[in-house]
Amino acid sequence: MHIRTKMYAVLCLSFMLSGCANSLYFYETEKISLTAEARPDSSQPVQGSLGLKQRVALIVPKKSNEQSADGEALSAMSSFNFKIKDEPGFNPILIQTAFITGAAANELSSSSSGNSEKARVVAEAIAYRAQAQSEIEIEQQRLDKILAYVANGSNAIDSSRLDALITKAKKTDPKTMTSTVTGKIKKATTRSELEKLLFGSLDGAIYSLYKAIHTN
Amino acid sequence: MSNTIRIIVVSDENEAQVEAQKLQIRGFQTTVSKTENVVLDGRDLGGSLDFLSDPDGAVFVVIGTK
Repeated sequence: MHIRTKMYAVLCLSFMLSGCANSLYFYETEKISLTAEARPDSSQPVQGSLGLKQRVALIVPKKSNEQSADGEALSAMSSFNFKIKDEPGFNPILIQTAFITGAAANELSSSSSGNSEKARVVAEAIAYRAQAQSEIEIEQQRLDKILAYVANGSNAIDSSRLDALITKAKKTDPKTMTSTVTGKIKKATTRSELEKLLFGSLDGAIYSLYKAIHTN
Repeated sequence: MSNTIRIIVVSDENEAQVEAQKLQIRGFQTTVSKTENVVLDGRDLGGSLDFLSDPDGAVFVVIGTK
């Protein structure tokens, strides 16, 4: 098995390097290569390699053309995060990249007194957001499987299948699948109603129902 | 005017922040409060009276309104 993934991310605020001396130039590429090799002989381990190559170039003009000009006209920060998502099966790769310029980058610069704390807070907020999005994606995938199980391709809910699923979920997770929660879920008659209810308000019940699909 | 309030009580600050972000993605406006004890009184609506606290530290309450 040979799988190769390449990602090129190029952001150029200006390619006119020679003609525009006051332009900021930013160039970034990432190449990721993943190779996995398995042999029919079970005694041989699965082997693989993961490679990452990144190029970043940033050219920032001076504040003015004067020889004595101090500092740069624009501040810029670049962030790149690569991780393999912790999911069952063949783990997807998550790449997050951010590019911040101007006053925002200057504010976050650790060289400014007292601003390293701001940078830390912003970095944490970005991390929380990324984790939240990742968890929501997983919930959405589980919700899709629940909907496919109880709606079976149509918009109408098969109430007997939904009731059976709720009963199984209630057995394993009674604290989550309380009477109030199960009563609300049972009232859903269409796929869209159930989706809106579970994804919008009762997302805590998604995992219990998803688990119950595979419970005998 | 909001028509739904979500209240999430957790003992870990990072978990509270992630839950707040999840609610924001779902369209809720959120606040995260740090406290020691939480009393949830839902008796008037047929619910229960619960007293929640984390013996090892603080409790974080995420409130989302939509």
